[in-house]
Amino acid sequence: MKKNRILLMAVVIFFNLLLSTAVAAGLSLPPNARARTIEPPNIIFILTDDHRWDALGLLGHPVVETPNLDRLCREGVRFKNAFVTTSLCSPSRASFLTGQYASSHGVKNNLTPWNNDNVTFLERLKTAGYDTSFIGKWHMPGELPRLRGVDQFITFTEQGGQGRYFDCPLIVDGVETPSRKHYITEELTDYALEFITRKRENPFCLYLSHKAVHHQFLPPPHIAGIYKDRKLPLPPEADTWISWNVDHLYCGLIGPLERTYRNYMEALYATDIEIGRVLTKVDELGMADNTIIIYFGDNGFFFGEHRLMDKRWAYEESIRVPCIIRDPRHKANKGKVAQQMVLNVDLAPTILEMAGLDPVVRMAGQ
Amino acid sequence: MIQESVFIDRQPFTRRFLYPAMLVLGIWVVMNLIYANAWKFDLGAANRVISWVCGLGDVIFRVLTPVMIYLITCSRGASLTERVVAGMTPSFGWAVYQFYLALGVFSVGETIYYGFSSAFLFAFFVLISVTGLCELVFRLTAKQHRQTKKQLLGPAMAILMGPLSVFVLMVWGGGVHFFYVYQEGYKLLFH
Repeated sequence: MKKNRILLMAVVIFFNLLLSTAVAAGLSLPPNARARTIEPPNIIFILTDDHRWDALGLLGHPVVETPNLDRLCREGVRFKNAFVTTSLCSPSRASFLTGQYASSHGVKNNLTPWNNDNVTFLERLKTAGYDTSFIGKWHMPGELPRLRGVDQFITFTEQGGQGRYFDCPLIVDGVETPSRKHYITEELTDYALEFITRKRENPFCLYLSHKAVHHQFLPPPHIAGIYKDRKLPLPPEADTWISWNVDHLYCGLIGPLERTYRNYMEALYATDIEIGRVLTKVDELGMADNTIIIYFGDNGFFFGEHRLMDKRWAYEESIRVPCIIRDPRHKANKGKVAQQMVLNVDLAPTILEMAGLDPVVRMAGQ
Repeated sequence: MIQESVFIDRQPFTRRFLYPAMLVLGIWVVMNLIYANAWKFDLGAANRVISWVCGLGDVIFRVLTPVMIYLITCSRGASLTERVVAGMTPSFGWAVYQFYLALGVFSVGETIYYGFSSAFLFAFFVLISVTGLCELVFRLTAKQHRQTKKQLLGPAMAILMGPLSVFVLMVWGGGVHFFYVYQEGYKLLFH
């Protein structure tokens, strides 16, 4: 009898211990921390430059074909109402990284320097055990920072940080490195694939930041001219010589509008092919079920709408961007078009939430 | 200095300078008004014609204004300064309009610096080049009467400014190198 009582007590103590361990391990923790007990996803964020929201084959664009972005739309969610808070490269890119408005992160135009006290979502992911890589266009004014929270930092400083489309030397972890590929988008994708392929135990986050399709809108030689016979959907208020005559000479868009437009679309098609290489690699490595892919444009672009070229002005063509998220954990949402408004400042906290982490306090986005 | 008045009757200031300068400026203004507003009316295919005539025409007209000015003013006894200034009138009007637009966004100092951007420098040097060509032709014509080779050097130098500016502002790195030199100057002065 006494023996049975001791056995019973032992069983009770054992279950008590088990229960308290479970509570300590997760049940009493905040929701985000609980999510960390599940295997954290890999995250690939692809950012392109000047990609306006409607330049997608899926939307029936009469010129450009984007089969790989279309695929992302079909397999993920396209956010129909995605906008940037500043329609200019450097401030917008800083907003993506920090989740803050330009007034907070301090990069107010393409000339005000990046403040390295800014906290990026990459830094937060790193502290949570992620392998992180920033590859591509940094283009923040000032010296290249020692970016905290990235294991690998590959960028370029040519042409004020804009880079060159062809034979652009890179800065690989602080070391100037000659280009390995003729075309910049292909080059950056190669580095991205190497990072993805690397053997690792941790989840990873890749920030792939393309130069394309920024001015000078140059496609690679084998793609140049593929749209030369396409009829262009230019707005009625536009005309061939608008970039010469209206008040935006400093945009450097001297030349017939039609030529600029075709080059842009061809460079975009070339970029789509490279995005396809990333998708294929993710499939090949069998990591598609645990890899979130996010695609954004850093701002839009005018092709004569409102008699304007370039970006900067707060019209829809300039501030509205493509935004696609493929999250394999939400397969029920495949192919959906979300109506909710999304901003560039939302990216950083969203990525952190996806990784099961709390957002950084100073992040303005959601 | 060529003394045109030696062999050409010097007409009053209004006829040899003011009227020709006002004429080219007026043509440029009208052309711009048409270009800036024609698209607002549903003119069909005519809009395309207008955009080419007044859009491309605006640039060509500004570049070729010295030719028109020389044809008019030389026979009226205009001085070198008068010929050069009159030939630049539409471009001056264009620059003033651009500065006016820039002032809506930038400070006075920044707007002045804007005048050193490639668009303005290119426009200026190409104009100098075309003016030099006109002056050279004029002096060669005059040389048949009484000019010396020494007086051809100035126009010849001016002609070279055009190709030189094309190289520095457009060809060198596809125009991007100069832009970043310009941008560095801007940062130095204003940031």
